[in-house]
Amino acid sequence: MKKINHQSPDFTACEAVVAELAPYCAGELDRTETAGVEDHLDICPECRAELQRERHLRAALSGLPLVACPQRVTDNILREIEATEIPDGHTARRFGKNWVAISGWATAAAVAALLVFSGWPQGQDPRTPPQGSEYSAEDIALARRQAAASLRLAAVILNQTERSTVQEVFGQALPTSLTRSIKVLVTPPEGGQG
Amino acid sequence: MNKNDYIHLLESHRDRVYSYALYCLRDPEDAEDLTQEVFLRLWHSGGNGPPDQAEAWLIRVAHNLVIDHVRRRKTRTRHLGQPDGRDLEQVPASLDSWDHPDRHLERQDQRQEILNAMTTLQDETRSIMMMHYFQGLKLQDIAALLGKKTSTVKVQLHRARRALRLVLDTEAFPALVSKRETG
Repeated sequence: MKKINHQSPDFTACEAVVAELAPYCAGELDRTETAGVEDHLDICPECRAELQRERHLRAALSGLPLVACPQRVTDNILREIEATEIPDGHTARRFGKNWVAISGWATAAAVAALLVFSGWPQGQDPRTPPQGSEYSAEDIALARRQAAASLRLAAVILNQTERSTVQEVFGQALPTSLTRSIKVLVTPPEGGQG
Repeated sequence: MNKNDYIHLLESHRDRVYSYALYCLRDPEDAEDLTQEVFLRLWHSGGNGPPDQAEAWLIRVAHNLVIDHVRRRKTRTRHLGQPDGRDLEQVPASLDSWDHPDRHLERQDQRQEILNAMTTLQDETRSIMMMHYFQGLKLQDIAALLGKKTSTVKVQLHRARRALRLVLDTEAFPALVSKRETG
């Protein structure tokens, strides 16, 4: 700050002082700086008027009421973090740099398992075991459940674009319950607000 | 950060973040979206820093999102400065309960005038004013949050005050406009 402890106000000193009025009113100046501002204010009516304006503005804005955040915002946030929370209680981001690789592998494994155990894309209904299979119906049902769980997890940790892609590409071949799980996670496209 | 810590932070700071967004954006729906985005980013960031730094983090993210949001809104040719008055009609989390009702209304009108006038300021300047006057952040903390010099922030506030003087209603703000009248 320009030295402002002088006998008569001048333009440059006033410019320096008015820039200090906000921190002066907030009590952010040290003792020397405060004394410098007050010395100038003693002899400068223009800067005293500016000080009044600063106080007026401060009073108006600092007195703005805190507005209660609507409960639906909190509900949406908690719902969203529930969706991104993986079973061990960590957030998805904690995978760090391995995040993309893990989500990719999870998806690939889940889709591969579904394809193997459903017989797709040979045209069979993916929910009925292929004829002549060396696996029992029980094995296949278990594998499907595990694959579905893996894909459901993958759907949770994938981003919106990836989830949409999975749904788009494999939607016809996936069990309805799984498709529904993915659909729930894909938020509607932007455009509702303008 | 575990989920309990996160929920505690959410409950402690949601009103402040929402109010800041509301007063900056003047649109409750936009303020809700922004508040949600700020806290989701906190969650996805892992929030591994000290809890006492979480507030600064939230404010910085909220500020950046406000600037981005206003920029996007401008490109969609939706005028920011169309005050609709909906913001102050909402139920405040805390009221000046000690005020006489008339005095309370008068204060509310004055605040509305100032908020309207602030829409003529630069986006960043408006946000800095809200950080300092409404959020109560020190100028040096604002400067640190925004990667600016403290002197730059001081000058921005001073220029904002000068700019407001030019647009504020003289009757509502005699103290703020007296210089214009006499000058």
